[in-house]
Amino acid sequence: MANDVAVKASGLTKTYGEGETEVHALIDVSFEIPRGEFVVLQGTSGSGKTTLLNQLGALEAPTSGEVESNGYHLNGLDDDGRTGYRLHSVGFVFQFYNLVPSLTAYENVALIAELTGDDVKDRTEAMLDAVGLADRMNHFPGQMSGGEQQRVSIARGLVKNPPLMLCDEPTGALDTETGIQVLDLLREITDGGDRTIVVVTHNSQISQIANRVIDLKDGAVTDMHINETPLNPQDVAW
Amino acid sequence: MKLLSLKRRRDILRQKWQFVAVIVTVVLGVAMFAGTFNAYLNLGSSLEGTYERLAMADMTVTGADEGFVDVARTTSGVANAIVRRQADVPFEIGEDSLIGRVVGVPVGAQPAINMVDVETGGYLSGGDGLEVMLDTHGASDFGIEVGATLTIAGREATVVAIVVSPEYLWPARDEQSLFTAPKSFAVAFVDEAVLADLEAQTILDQTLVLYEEDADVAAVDATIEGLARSANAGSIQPLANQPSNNAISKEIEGLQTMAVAFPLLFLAAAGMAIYVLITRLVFSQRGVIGTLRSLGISSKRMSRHYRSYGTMVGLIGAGIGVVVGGFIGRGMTALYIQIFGIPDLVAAVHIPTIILALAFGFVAGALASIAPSRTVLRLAPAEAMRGDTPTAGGKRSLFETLIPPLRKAPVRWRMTLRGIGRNKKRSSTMVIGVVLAMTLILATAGMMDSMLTAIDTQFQDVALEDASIIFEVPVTDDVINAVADVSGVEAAEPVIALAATLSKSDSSFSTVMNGYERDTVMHGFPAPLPVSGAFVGHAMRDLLDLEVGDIVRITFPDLETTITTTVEMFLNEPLGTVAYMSTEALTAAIEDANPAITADVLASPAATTAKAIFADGADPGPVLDRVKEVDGVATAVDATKLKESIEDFQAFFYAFIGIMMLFGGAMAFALIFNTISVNVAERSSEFASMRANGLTHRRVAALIAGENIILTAMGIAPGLIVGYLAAQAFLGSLADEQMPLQLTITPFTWIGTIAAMFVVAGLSLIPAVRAIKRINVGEIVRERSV
Repeated sequence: MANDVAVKASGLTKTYGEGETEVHALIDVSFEIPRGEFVVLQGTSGSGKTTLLNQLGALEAPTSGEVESNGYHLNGLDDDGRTGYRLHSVGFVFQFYNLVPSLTAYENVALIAELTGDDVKDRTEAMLDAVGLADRMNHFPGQMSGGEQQRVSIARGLVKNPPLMLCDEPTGALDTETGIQVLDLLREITDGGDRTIVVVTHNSQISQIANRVIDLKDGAVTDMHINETPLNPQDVAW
Repeated sequence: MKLLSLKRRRDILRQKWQFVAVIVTVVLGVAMFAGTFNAYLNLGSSLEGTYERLAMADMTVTGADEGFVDVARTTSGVANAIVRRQADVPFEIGEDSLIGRVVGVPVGAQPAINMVDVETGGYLSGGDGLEVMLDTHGASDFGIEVGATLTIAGREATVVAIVVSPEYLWPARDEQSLFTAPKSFAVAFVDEAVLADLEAQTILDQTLVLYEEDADVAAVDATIEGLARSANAGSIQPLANQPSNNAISKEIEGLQTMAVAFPLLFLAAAGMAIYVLITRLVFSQRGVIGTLRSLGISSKRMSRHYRSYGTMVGLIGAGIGVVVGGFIGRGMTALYIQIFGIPDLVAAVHIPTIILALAFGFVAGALASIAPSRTVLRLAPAEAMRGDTPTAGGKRSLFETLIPPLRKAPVRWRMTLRGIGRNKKRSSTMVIGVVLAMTLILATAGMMDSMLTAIDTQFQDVALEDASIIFEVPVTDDVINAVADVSGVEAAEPVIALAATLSKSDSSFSTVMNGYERDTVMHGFPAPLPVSGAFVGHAMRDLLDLEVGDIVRITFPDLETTITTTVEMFLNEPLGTVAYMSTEALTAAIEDANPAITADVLASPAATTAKAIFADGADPGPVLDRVKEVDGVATAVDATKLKESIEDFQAFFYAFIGIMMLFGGAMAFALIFNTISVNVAERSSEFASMRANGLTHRRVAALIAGENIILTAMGIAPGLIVGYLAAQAFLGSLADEQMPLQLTITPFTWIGTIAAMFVVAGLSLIPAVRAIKRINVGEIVRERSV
């Protein structure tokens, strides 16, 4: 894999169940994502986009095919290897934030910071500051809005400084205005850097802010195109 | 509604292991109740049956005036009264000698009261020579069969029958000697006319009184006791105090206590486990509940649906428990009957017990499911269908508030600490589970420790002798010196033992008065025996309302003599509640009260035995053999045999305690396993998210383990306190004057119980850790359940 390629999928297939209940969630999916791009994986419900995201994040193993990500050959990794890959090379952002409710915003971020290096306090505070939550860091998730929780989730993903961020419907549970703020934030963290962001969404508007758009349908890639003039989230007609 | 039943069945199957754990807890509780309570009822019925068939006396009065039997017979509530004779005399059986007991019975026909059950051979026929019927325990000890001969009071006798006597189902010589060493006691039933001719120092006249079936036992006891006192009776022994009956009754009482107290612990634990499980079920099925409510199913029906999980689990557990309990009860009854040699076995299945056991299981399930099922009533369909779970507010843990440095601890530690407070009911359940399990273990282990400590104290600090020696000649200084001179014997002393009734005002207590040398080395006293006055067992302080310095009246029925003396000290001895005086003081007091009873009379072998201590390193077997060869020695009994006899008696009890401890462990496992499983299930999304963020499953498991260990630790202190109190109450219900047990819990038990809780908690974690490992991270992180 060339140095400027962040993620490469080759002949990726994922099948669930067997016999009559067999479902082909991914069928022979292949693509390359260059480093530093904001990529949108889009498709309707059941198109296989979350399954593909899970393959890229080493949350699930493919039935066949290969994934290479930032120097990791995911197929050859055991459970510890995949966990290590996720800890050091991938930041996740989920639709429903998935924060630990018993930890404050600071602690949710610090939980990962503690496992990935020193200067925990500085790194955590800097990250929360970067997502605009410097004054909310001692609040628990239950005391925060959905947008704030999603920003904590982004800070948690970023605190390890991963080369790849995987976001599964990051605005799916948010109102439009808050969604725009979150997309702004995600866009900011790639601009001019090496970090690659893959966003899964069924909202086709989001593709307007991406560098690259991959369309999925029934488990297969139907189109992959480069967006030469990505828009700012505020400029998109939502 | 059939479909709701189908849903319930599938829900249970989906969480089968949690439901199995709860059902097992119910089964344990119900089985224990059904088994032990059935055994208790059966043992009581068996004993009653034997007593009724063999006309066991309700009252035995010794040494009353001649006309007492006629007075007793005509007393209201009395069915019959007879007089018989009894004497303790030397027996020679093979090469063994001992002081046995002969009891007079009519020839050719059973006595009207205290009949015997002929096991082998035939009842006394009045044939040539001295015929005896030997009690089954003695026959078994000595391997005697019908036709064998033995010597009783110097006369050769032929065994014509081996019999079971209701008076000696448990072979106790007297109230204070519930335990006898093998081959140290035997009972022979002989022609009452012959008994009068035997060479015995004292032949007791006993009046046996049998009450009518519907008599008010307490009232008739009181009447007969009053009449017996008026008739100058030496000893008045109601059936409740009869040594054999007393020993067996204590076991039956113990069974009753265990039959009720321990199952309640299990059912409480099962109730909590059901509560946790159904609460989780309702919580996780909010969406389903909302949907079904919106489709028109009433909230009451839904509430009933979730309540039915608890009642079903209770009933299934109770049903299995009753069947298992039936086997346990049958086995326990048979074992007890065998141990006590009760000839009539009643192994009935008591329907009320079964109904009660089923009700216990049902009620435990129904009560536990009320609270969670009521939450269904409060759920608005629209809110429930959104699938939102109530947002946990989140706050710092109490630990962090109390110990500020913890606020700087790694986030993982803080997460563990806060996990404890996230679901207080669930955490409380686990803590209470630990407390209940510790209570069960400490109550039973404490009982065992107390028994073992009592036995050790008795044989290491109180009864210091290595051997008891029984003579066939008056016990003079020469005889004692001859024993002391035996190679391997370090010291020998005479010891007087007289049946005695101590009384003060209207209260009396029948026991044994022992006379030891003032500076005895055979018995451990806290201080040398007083020049005058007596040391008495501590239980007499309450029984007779005594204080140190009080004057107590002591009647010796065998000697027809009464003395008075002062109480100098109360003794806390583990086995028996007896009295002690120095030999000199006792002899002088008796002689003062009755000049006919001189020191020479008291030196008779029926009143005086000897105790001996062996030299360090001496081999007890050969030393005992040499002692037995001394002229005048009837037999010598190894003191350790008595200890072994007591330990044998406890063997069944220890086995029961072992089972209880296993059950306690199983209960703790079931409860902790369920709590942890629910914890993992409720937080699967949170754990999946952590796994997605790069935490290994081991690290996630460590979080749960940490919570688990802290919750277990939180249960330890209250568990130790409640367990100690329960052990004290349990022991108090079993202790009596014969065994005035004091609670002792050894450090090993304390530490072992604590360690067992952590081991059980650790074992309970294994399935949880596997569940965490199996978490489908990809699938769960997509769902909204944090």
